[in-house]
Amino acid sequence: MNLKGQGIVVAKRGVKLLHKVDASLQQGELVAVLGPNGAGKTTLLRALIGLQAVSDGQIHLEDQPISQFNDQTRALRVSYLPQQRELVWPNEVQDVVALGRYAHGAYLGSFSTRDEAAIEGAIDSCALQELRHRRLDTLSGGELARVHCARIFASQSPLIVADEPTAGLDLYHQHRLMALYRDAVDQGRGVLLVLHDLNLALTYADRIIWLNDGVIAGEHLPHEVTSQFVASLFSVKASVVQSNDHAYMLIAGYEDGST
Amino acid sequence: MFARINIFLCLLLVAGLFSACLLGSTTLAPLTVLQALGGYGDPADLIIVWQIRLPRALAALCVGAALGMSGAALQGLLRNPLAEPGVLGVSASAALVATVVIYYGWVQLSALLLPLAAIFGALVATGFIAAAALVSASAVTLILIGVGISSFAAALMSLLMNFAPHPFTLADMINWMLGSVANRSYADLQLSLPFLMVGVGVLWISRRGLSALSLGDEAAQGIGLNLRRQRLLVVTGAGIATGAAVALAGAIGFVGIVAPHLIRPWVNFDPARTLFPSALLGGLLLVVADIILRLLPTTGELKLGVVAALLGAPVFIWIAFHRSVRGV
Repeated sequence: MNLKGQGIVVAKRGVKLLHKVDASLQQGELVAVLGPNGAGKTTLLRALIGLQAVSDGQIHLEDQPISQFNDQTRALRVSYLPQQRELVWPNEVQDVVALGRYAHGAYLGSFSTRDEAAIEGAIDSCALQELRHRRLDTLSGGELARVHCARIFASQSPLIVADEPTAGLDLYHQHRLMALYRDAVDQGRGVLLVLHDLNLALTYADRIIWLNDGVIAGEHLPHEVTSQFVASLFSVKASVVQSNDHAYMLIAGYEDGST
Repeated sequence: MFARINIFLCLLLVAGLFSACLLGSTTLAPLTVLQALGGYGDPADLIIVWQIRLPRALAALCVGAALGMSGAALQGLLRNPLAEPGVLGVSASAALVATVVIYYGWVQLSALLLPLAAIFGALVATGFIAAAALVSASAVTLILIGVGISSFAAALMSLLMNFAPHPFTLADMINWMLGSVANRSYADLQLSLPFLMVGVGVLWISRRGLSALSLGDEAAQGIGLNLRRQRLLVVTGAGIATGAAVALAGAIGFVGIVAPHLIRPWVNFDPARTLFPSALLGGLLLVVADIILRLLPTTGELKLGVVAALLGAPVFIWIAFHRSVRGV
């Protein structure tokens, strides 16, 4: 299973949000999309799964145009976790996880044995056993992020696309969540994440796509990323720190002269 | 696990319908009612039970059920506990067309004309909202368009009342707008029931998508929901069911807000599981309200819609206040 976008152009009211962007995702890899605010990261994610109309370019899922899929057949192949994860009702944790089975035709209270197994597996892998009967409005941000993660896992789609899954989490939960996605990749799924934390990307990703102002600014393997590149892309002072054979990026202030 | 609340409400509803046959200006003995329901006993009791009290109670049940389920579905769709059929302007449009029929005195032509006009009005408004649901991206837009339609229909109704040719016409209009199930017959029920069933059926089909929508529009699409189809189903179903309810009883508000709100905690807040018990509770609320207003010693006839609003409006304010305090 693979998701491939070539030459994606998205324009809204004459403003080009994306210009000739290429991006792809295979099973067995964790791809991070990074870039300054307003670079078009969310637009790229939505375009890739067909929720955002494109003015030009081809997007293929499983070597077929994304337009050939309807919401259900697409969701069976690629799960999408948007940035807005609003709480509408204080639902029960296990009900929310079970919604991940929606595309499989599951309906709360009537699950097949496969649905049950997928839901239980997701609850286990995200360590939600203790919380399964809790109401959403009683959870912390970190717990909530795990619930959404479990919901995505329960779908058992080969590909996952998530928009800032670690936003607003503390250090522990950021790493815990990234480890969950990393596990999913090691078990054969393909994960594409929008991230803002450079070091999370360097630690967990197999490949980093840099987006700036609607165009691809570069694409690197984690060890290829240089401090000069980061410094110029984000207009910050960046330096590389080596620790345990792993390179991390230290950001010490921003550069003047940029807008 | 959640079947228990349905069974409980069904039992209450049967008790409510039985009490409705029992109580009234002359209270019948339970045994008399049972006999009459079985077709035995005094012909006068048979008429009271079969021709007067039962159809009236059934009308209240149908209206409450349609409004309760429509409210639950709309709240799920718009993700707002204050949404109800009235919010989309469907009730007001139905009442408006009915008022036009009264204004021109067409009621004399056929007894069927008034309810048919109400259903027609509801369908027109529903079509309008459904078109908006297909084009628009946001649930808030739907609410705002509904509020607009509602206000416009209310303004036109005021205009008609303003120019009412005759005091009796004015009285008829007001009676219609206040909402009542007094003197409803099986013929009235027969006319509205098919529409009501279709509307409720469409809502029932949409229930799975309502669960998905508790994640928000974007995430619901993410798990495989066809958002446009879902909006179309809910708006159409609620429109038709509400039209049928208005045709049967005039405009009755707040049931669609209150019933789902009371049900939600009992079904773990899942919008799909809210549908059926909301219909049962909506029906129960109106059956009981109708019994109470028949027992109250008022000089004029107390209208069901007035009682529903008197009880429902404070609950509406309470929900709104509670929400703002909780910050949801």
